[in-house]
Amino acid sequence: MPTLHEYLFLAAALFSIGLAGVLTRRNIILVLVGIEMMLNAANVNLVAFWRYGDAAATDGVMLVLFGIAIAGAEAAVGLALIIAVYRRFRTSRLEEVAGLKG
Amino acid sequence: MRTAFILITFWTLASGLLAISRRNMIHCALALISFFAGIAALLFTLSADFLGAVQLLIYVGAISVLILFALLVTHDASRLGDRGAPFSRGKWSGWMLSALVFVVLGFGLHRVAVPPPPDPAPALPVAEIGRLLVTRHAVPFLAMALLLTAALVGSALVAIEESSEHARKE
Repeated sequence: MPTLHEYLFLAAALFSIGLAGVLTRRNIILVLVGIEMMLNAANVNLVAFWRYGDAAATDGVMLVLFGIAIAGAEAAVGLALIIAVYRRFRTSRLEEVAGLKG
Repeated sequence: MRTAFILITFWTLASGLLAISRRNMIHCALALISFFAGIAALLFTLSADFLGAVQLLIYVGAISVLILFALLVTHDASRLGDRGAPFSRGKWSGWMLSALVFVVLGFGLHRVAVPPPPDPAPALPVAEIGRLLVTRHAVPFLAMALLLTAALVGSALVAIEESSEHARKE
């Protein structure tokens, strides 16, 4: 059985990779991909704390369940907005979408 | 168990790095799917079976299809291969900053003492999760229902508004 530290280090590494995706990519969709990766890394943390913590405390799992639902809603709305932006600007690159004023 | 964890670690780290570093965006999306599957495997090793199944259904099934769909819709044929710099100008500072975040997190984790795992994994059967959803977590559950409805209506609204604007222009 791996230790809690190993799960937490792995989750920190995955979070940093997601952050790097958000900070370095130009395509809006890939920025959203980075955000999803960060959310997943946080979920791994929560489940690891549930597994290694008090067996009676179920809040870690429930929080991950709610987090997945929120991330699903976020992805749906985010991609709808990306498609709306694409229709108006004909691009999905961040630096070309400089003016959001109607 | 140990070998499985090491394999999954390399799997998720490799597919995560591929997902943010490939130039071809379809390759990025495919690596992302494998990243999501790796996360599901991690949840299985943590004996959170229900969450692993949810991860497979929602992320590997739904969100990756959504992302692939968005990539195909916004695909620009004139930029096939995406030669025009897929990374932003400040990419090096972005890499440095995320490496710094990892170092800070790792330094913090390094100093924390952790308990050994409870040997029989804490069991959380699906029936118990369902009971908790309608008793202890009933309010967040209802808020989630509201949020999902709002997200559904909101995404539909964004699409419909835009298409009626198109109709007015033409």
